[in-house]
Amino acid sequence: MAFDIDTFAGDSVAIGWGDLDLDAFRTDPLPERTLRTLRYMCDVEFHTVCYLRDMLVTPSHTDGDVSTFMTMWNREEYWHGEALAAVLRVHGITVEFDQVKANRMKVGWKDRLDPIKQSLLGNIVGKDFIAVHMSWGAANERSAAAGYRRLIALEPHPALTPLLKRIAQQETRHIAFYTTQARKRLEASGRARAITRFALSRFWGPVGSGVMPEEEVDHVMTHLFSGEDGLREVRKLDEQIAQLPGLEGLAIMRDAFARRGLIPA
Amino acid sequence: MSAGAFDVLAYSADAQGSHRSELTGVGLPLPEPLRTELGYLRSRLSGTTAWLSLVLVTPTHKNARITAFLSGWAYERYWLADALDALTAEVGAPPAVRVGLRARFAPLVEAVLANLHGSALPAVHMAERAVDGVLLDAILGHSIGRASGPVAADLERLRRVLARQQAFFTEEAGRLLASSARARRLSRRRLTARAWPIGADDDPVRTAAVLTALSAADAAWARRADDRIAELPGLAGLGIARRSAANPGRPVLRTTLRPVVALGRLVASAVRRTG
Ligand SMILES: [Fe+2]
Ligand SMILES: [Fe+2]
Repeated sequence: MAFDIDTFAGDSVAIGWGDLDLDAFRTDPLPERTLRTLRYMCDVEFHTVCYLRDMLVTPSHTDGDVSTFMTMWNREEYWHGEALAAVLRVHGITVEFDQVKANRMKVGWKDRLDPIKQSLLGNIVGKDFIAVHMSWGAANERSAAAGYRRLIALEPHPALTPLLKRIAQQETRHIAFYTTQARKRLEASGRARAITRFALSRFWGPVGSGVMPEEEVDHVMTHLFSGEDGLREVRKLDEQIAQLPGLEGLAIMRDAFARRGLIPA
Repeated sequence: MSAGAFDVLAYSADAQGSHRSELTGVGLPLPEPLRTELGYLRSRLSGTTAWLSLVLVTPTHKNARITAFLSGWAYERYWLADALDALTAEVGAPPAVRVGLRARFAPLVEAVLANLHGSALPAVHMAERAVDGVLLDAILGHSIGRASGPVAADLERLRRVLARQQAFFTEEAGRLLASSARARRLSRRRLTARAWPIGADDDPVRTAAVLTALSAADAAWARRADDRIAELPGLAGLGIARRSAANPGRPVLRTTLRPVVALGRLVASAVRRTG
């Protein structure tokens, strides 16, 4: 899978929804549990800047392609957040700057130490750490895309479905970037494979876990990924990640679900 | 804290992407000094990730209004740099950023300091960008003055994009500085401890060439720039432009005691925190 960064940058747009009739939600509102899941997704999208931050303190950002990608990606994700906030707004749920801010404040000390840990780790490990970020990003983007796909299947709606499809389409481009980068870097270095395997098998969790409240994570994962269709997405994600060099045999999403007690270990 | 008048959402929705289809001066020959100057501006405009890496490790990343703005800002900067590439006919990927040990650990140092300076840092970061904007605008104004019609029109276009960014930084810095004496003190200290424009310390030779040419063409540029900077609350009399012009690529104020003073402050604030 070739990935051309200049094409990606040239095609990068803030997602639009001006042509969609969001007023459809007034006569045909979304059910409570879907709104709760959307709220989670919205917060996670707005939190992208925190992931960006973690990458910027390591050698990752000094790579020209990665730096260009980060610029475009951060803006696209920000607009995913705005799009979902627009849907929530029609339902009387406001996600304003100040609330996002309050959420980030709650992360507290962990948040303060994270950049320090990341920076130390990243600079000690050096270039191979970029492979961890790229693989981690690939898994995150895949879990986000899987989440949107599941929501599209679970909640058909004339305004929601096209919007989620637009978002999912951009997530697919993100997957392509991260996967291409991860593959290249993992192929090139045994040390990168070992560190990445260790980091992903030990610490990876579905996107949003670690930032959002535990009960919200459980709600969203149960809502989206329980049942045969949901578990099929989980298996698919695991298989795709396990195709990366050095990550054979891993099942990071299933393990994360088992750790949360959502499926039997 | 009340949100400012600058409409961040509208800005971010309308952030300017590629300029290439609108440029009229692509392919026209440029006199060498102008090429150099535009190349220099290009480097300053594209250094967004290095600066973001310092800013996002601090409480500034918790300010969702600022981070929302910066997502559009970094995007616009990318395309401004791309437009300058087109005008100066630079092709291919920009040179890889060389990262020295100091730069590599700079975010780490900043993250540690952030725990001490905390809430005053967003003001410093916004002021940094406001000051930088004043200096880059002076350089760009000089470039426009020496450019041919079509190139000058293109540069004016880029200048408008920068002016809108500057409106945000000026407003945000103004508000944050006005509301905190600590932010004003810290800003004065940090703004004079670094070289200007941002990134000049990694690029001292070109900085000297560009600022010297600027002063030769217009001896009063630095005074006018300093007057603009002085309009920010608490930042009068720093002489950032004047001192940078006299000593390009070097921190505004230098003292051999600086490391000692810094250590003293660090200890003092740590003691204050725990005490
Ligand atoms: Fe997204
Ligand atoms: Fe994404």
